Formats: sequence, C-alpha cells, structure tokens
Amino acid sequence: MDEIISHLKKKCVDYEIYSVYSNETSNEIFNDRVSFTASGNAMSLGIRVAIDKKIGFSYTDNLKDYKRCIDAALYSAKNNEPDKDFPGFGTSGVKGKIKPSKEVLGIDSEWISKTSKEIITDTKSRNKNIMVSEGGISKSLAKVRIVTSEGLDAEESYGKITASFGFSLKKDSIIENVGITKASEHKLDTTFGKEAAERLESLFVRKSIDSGNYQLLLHPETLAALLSESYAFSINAENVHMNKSRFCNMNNKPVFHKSISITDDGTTKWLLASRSFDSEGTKTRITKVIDNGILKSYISDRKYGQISKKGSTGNASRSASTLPSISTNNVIMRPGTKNDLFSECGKAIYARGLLGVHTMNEATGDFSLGVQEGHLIKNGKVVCPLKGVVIGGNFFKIMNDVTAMSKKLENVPHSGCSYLVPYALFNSITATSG
Amino acid sequence: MEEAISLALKKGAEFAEITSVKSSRNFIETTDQKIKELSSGSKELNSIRVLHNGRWGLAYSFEKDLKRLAFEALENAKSSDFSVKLNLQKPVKRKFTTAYKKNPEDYSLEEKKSNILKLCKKPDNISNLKVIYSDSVIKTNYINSEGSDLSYEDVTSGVLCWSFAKKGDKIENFFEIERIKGGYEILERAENCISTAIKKSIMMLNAITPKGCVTNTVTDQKLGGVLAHEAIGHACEADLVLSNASLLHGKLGKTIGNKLVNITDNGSLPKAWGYVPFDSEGIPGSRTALVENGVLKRYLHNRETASLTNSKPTGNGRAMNPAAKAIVRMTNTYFENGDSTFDEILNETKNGYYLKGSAGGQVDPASGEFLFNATEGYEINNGEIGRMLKGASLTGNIMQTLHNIKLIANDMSLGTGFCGKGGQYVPVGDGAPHILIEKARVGGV
Repeated sequence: MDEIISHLKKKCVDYEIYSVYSNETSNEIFNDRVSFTASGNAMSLGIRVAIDKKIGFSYTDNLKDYKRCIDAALYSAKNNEPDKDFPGFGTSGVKGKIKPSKEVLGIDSEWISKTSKEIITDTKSRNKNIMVSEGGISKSLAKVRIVTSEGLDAEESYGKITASFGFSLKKDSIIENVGITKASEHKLDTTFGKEAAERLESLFVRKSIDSGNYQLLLHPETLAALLSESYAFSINAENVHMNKSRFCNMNNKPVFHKSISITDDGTTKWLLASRSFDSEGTKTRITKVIDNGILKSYISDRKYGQISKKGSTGNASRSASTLPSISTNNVIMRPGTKNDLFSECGKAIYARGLLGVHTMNEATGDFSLGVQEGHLIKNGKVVCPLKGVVIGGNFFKIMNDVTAMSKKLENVPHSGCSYLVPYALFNSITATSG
Repeated sequence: MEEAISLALKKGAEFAEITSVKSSRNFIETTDQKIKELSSGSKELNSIRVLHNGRWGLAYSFEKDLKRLAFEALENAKSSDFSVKLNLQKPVKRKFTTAYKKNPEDYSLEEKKSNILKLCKKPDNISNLKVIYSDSVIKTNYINSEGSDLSYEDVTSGVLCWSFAKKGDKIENFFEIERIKGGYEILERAENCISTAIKKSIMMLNAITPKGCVTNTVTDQKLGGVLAHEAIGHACEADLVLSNASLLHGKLGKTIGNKLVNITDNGSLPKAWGYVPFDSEGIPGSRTALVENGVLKRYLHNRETASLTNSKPTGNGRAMNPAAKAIVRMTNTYFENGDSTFDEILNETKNGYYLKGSAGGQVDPASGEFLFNATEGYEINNGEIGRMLKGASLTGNIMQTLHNIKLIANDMSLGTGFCGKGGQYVPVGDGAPHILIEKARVGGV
C-alpha cells in the first residue's frame, strides 16, 4: 500500500484507494451429502482520482499491476467531464472498530462439513423422506481499507457465516420444496430442520381458489423482499435527485400508513450490514426514514448529501471494482401491536414465499407475483395450501393499506443486510387463480 | 500449470483441472447526457479442482501459486463426502476466439465516450435517461489430467438504456438492452436501443393495466425464450432432477406437451450469448434436444450428473468464475420454429393478450409453477393489436402450459441474458418464435 500511495502522491492528484482482501471457506450440499468443499482468497484494488473535479476510476486484482491501474484512472479522469457536485474524497475522523467474532474466526472446513451433516441428520430425523437437495455453509472474512489524499486512512475487518439450504419432499409424484437461509456475524442458528419439515408438510395438497379480492398476510421474509425493491429504490437520494423516485418532493409528507415507521441502521453490532464507516469513509449512523408514515429523510452518500445540503447518511456501498453507490444498511421497522395476525384474518392469502419479486417495477411499485409458498386463511384458521395463485397490486398502495402488524420482528438476511420486520396484514389484494 | 496437475495426481487424485481467467473491461455510464462513470479495470483468478477418493475439493487465489493450491484442494476434498466415480472423457486441445468486426481495444475510451454522448439526446418529456456502454475481453485457460488444453478469448460488448418519462405525478420507465458476442460494432445498434427505450417509456404513460384473467395469449420471441429457459430448461437440469427438485424427474420418453413443441439447448452456436466452446469442466458445448414433438428426450449434465446416471456430459457444467463449483447450467435454450406466421397466430387468437419482452422471471422446478413479467403488452381484439398494457405477467404450470400451446410461428430469434442459480450468474441465450398459448393465466393489478 505504501508504494501505491507514494506513486499517487507523485502524480499530484486527489485520490482514494479502496482495497478489499477476502477469504472464504464453503461447501455445497447435493442429495443429502457434502458434495464439494472449497477455499480461497481474493484481493482487489479500486483507485479513484480527481483532477479539477474530473473523476477517473480503475481497478485491478493484480497488485503488482498497480501502476497501470493508476495510469488508467488518470487517463479516464483526463477524458471525463468535470462533476460540479463532486464533494471531494473522505476526510480523516473515522476509525474501524469492528472485527470478526471469535466464533466465526474459529470455523474451518471440517466444522462446516460436520455442521452440514448435523443439519441433514436433524432434518431427516423429522421426516426421513425429506431430501436436503442443495445449498451449503460458507464462512467469509473481508478486510477493507480506505486511504485518501484528504487524510483518511481507515481499516476494518468483517466476518460472516451463512447457511442456505434447499429441502424437498415427494409424495405421490408431487414434489414440494422450501429454502431456508440464516446468516450471522457471530453464532449460526442451525436448528431449522423442524421448520423445514413443518413447512414442507403444510404444502400437501395445494388447492386452487376463486379469483377475487382477499386480505394479504405477508411473512417477514416476503415483506423484506418487497421493501428491498421499491422502498430501497424510492428513498435513494440519487433516484430522488434524478426524478426517478415516487418520493420526489415528498419530504415531511405522508408516504405510508401512519402505523409504519422505518429506520436505516448502520451501527447496531449484531446486524449484518453494520460498519464503523461506509464505503466512502463516512461514519455510519441510524437514520429515521419513515416516522408514523411521514417521510423524514432520504439515504445518501457524500455527493447527494452535498446536493441536498443534508450531508451523507453513511449509505455508500461498493466493491473494489465498482464506484460507490447508495444502498440501505439494515432496515428496521417499528413493531406492530398484535401478538397473532392470523386471528385478524377474515379471508386472507398468507404469502410465505413469492415467485418473481425481482420482476416488480421498483420505480412505480407495480407488481404481479406468484404465491410460491402460501395458504388460504379463513376466520383465523389455515384452510389449505395455495395452487397457481398470482397476486397483483402496487407496493405504495398496499403500504398505505396496512391493517395490522405483529409485535414480534423477525431478523431476515437479505442482500447482505438485516431486515428487522414484522408480519403485516393488508386490507386488500387482487388474486388470480385458475 | 502441468506441474500442479502432476502433483495432485501423485498425491492420489483421480482427476484434476486448472482454470485461469483474466478479464478486462471498459465501462461508460451517462445520466442525462453527462458522464457518471468512465472506467476500465482488470481481474484475475486461478483455481485447481481435484477429485480424490471420489470427493471434490477446490482452492483458488488471485496469486498463481498453483502447487500450494493443489495441496489446499486435496485437503478440502477430505471434508467432502464420497460424490462420484468419474467417467473420464477424451482429451481436447483447441484455442477459440470470438469473431468480431471491430476490436474494442483499437478504440480509445475517449472516442467511445464521445460517440456514446452524441447518441444520448434527452427529449423534454423524459425526466431521466441513463445509458451504459461496456466492452470486455475474458481470457480463459483450462487444462486437466485427461490431457485437455483449451483456451478461449471471449469478446463481448453491450449497450443498455433506461428511460424515465414523467407526466404530472406519473412516472413510467422502460429499458432496452443490446448485447453481442463481438466488439465495437455494437455502436451500430446503440442509437436504435436508446430511441426504443425513450419511445416506449413515453408510450407507457398511457398504457393500461390488464385485469388478471385466464385467456388466449401470444408471447413474442423474448418472452417465449424465457418460457423455454425458465419453465423447461431449469426442470431439465440433471442436478435438480436427481435431487427431487424437478417435476420432470422420471419423465424421460414421456409426452409433456403438445406435439408442436420442440425445445433445444445449444452451447455450440458461436454468435449466441450463451456460447460455450467448452464448459467449465473442459467438455465441448453441444446441441441437446430436450423436447422433441412434445416428448421429453434428455436432461442437461455436468461431469458429475452424467457419471451418476451413466450418461454423456452435455457441456453444461458451468461455473461463474474459477472459485465456484461447475453446476448444471443452460447455454442457449429455445423453442424450435413451427410453421405458422405471426398473422395466422393473431387471427387464431381472436381476443386475448400479446405479451412482449422480459422483465425477468422465476420458476419453481419442483411444482412447475412459473411467473414471467413482460416489459410491455397489447390487447388483441378480433385478431388486431389494440391498446398497450403495462405490468402484465404470464404465470402457470409447465405441464399445463406446454399442452396448451396451440400454434408456433416460424420467426425464432435468440436473445441475451444472465441466469442465476445457487448464487452464480452466467450468460445465457434464450429464444422462441411467436407462440399462441390457450388458457394462459395472465396476472395484472
């Protein structure tokens, strides 16, 4: 790193060096056995330079090649147009405090293999016909360092263990499957064989329902998936500035039902996306985004924080081979008031898993999604698993139409973040079946 | 490289392979006729995979210390369970290069930037216009203990345009992508890509949302391609079949659709986006007929599933990068041409929907339920194309849908995309002619 800094200093330009060293050990499951074990490391370097507000960027995985990388960044800066809104690179003032936990550091390929087999054995002890069809466990470590010409030099290390398994069950030529993912920066919860068995068995035998309007009960995982699309898009200060967001000019105005409050949390240690500083070296924080349905803040990086004159909220995210862009940290919803939402249901579709969430229109909020794992609920009772049901609606509309939320929040790992979200019941959704 | 292979064999491995990938990329992103990003970069990764006592182990690094990686891979294999006794294949020695008209490396980033900016003219009624240009060169070297020695220099380029139109409080958007196996000749397609995205985003402001219903539906080449890929291709992947995760398990030789239906996976088409001259396990890409005249004929295999089922590998073992496991993946998957024309299909439809383009899709290969979102749609009234639709999805069950195909046109074309499975993304092609599906479930708002 010293050589790289020294070489950049000679070029008399403003610079930012972003380096990531990562190390991973993982396995894969295929048909109830550990079919593959891998380990390795990767190093990558991203260099941004600024010449009279003209930005250049290049990256490499070959550290010996850093001079060519710097030359490429300088070349792109010289050929770029000035960015009048460029806020400069990060300045000193942050210090990395996070380290991988002892639990994660102590994990090796043998532990991963042993734990995977325990999960398989536990699941099959619940129902011997269940097959652990795919998935595996991975341990990942990463060390990030940011150095800028403005005096920032911050380094932090992270460790994470993730288990993601697919389970299937065949009965009378009908196959059902479910997937379960758990992630932690400390201790991994591996006791999900019971959940897999119960969810699989509840899916026999699916039935069609009449098309029409139903209440919609979303499991926290499905609510998190919807939030990660339209909510994350709409609160992004760049999308607001670019006139792409439904939340343009909506600051301090109601955007969701008054019972909904959401914060963006980059600091709470036990959550997945918590960091001391974001990818531009800005100290992370807790940002109140939605308060009683009122939009209170967008999330931003240095550039859009400067444009809005409100400063960065510590939401810059990147890899070494990409420029920083705005993304959510951990998404925390305020709990609701109900112990049990099922008893609140008259005639409802309970969506445990949805098909095609990534296809929804994140800007307009329009969606048309298959109910992959869901049940019909009548008067608080589960009637049957659903077959061939599609729900259509608009994200912003249903978020203004919520009737109840659970007291309990679930910690859902999604896109590298933790979503702490409740079960949520919505007044009406259109279902097509047939 | 050969030394590390020899070392692995000396330590008892029955099979070993080394993959080395170096890539470079140029990238230009503009927003509202201004440069947002102008960059270039390179990546490099090396790996060795071994099969030792029937157990797979892999090690990778950005450094090329292959002997150390061989020891690490052998150690990792001990943590795996017995997997397979591999059927060995004949060695192949060949070099492949993508054919291109204009080498992207012959044009400076400055010239590319200038040409792209000239095309990014934003009309007044467009609130935001994003245009991305990229080109990349990926050099893959592969050797294995069978004696195969392969290399592939793959040149690709693409243009993406995402246009947002605004009228009062209403925002609509449309994106258009052009990708090719080729070089800077992509610029010839950029203008049309950008103007299409702009025009369609404005049209979307007046589009109506369809009511969910079951009706006659015509799919275009792109959406039909997604049907071939998502609904049939995934269910034909032998790893899913073997692990009880595909409803096509045990259906080889059985009728699964209308006799008009012929579906193929073909990794041997050099100009197609999913071309694999050799897969990530050194097996040449090939043409595999999955469905012929409505009858399921074959599954797709990597080395492991082929050995487990005493089949031939089909060149479908693909890994996203050298660090990942080569799992069974599609290449270019498509419905073969039928003998109808598009006009005949519209006339036969009478009333229904015409769904075009793909905004993504997902399938549950076990139950056969699928959902694909169209980027645009149109009413069909008395055989004529009517009002524009937005937010329409095609959903259904694989088996029912294949039986409900009534007509297939003779205008097949292949599109480009990326497929995700097990956290890995690989380039794939998919395509179809226009298809008429009776009693299709169309989801709306």
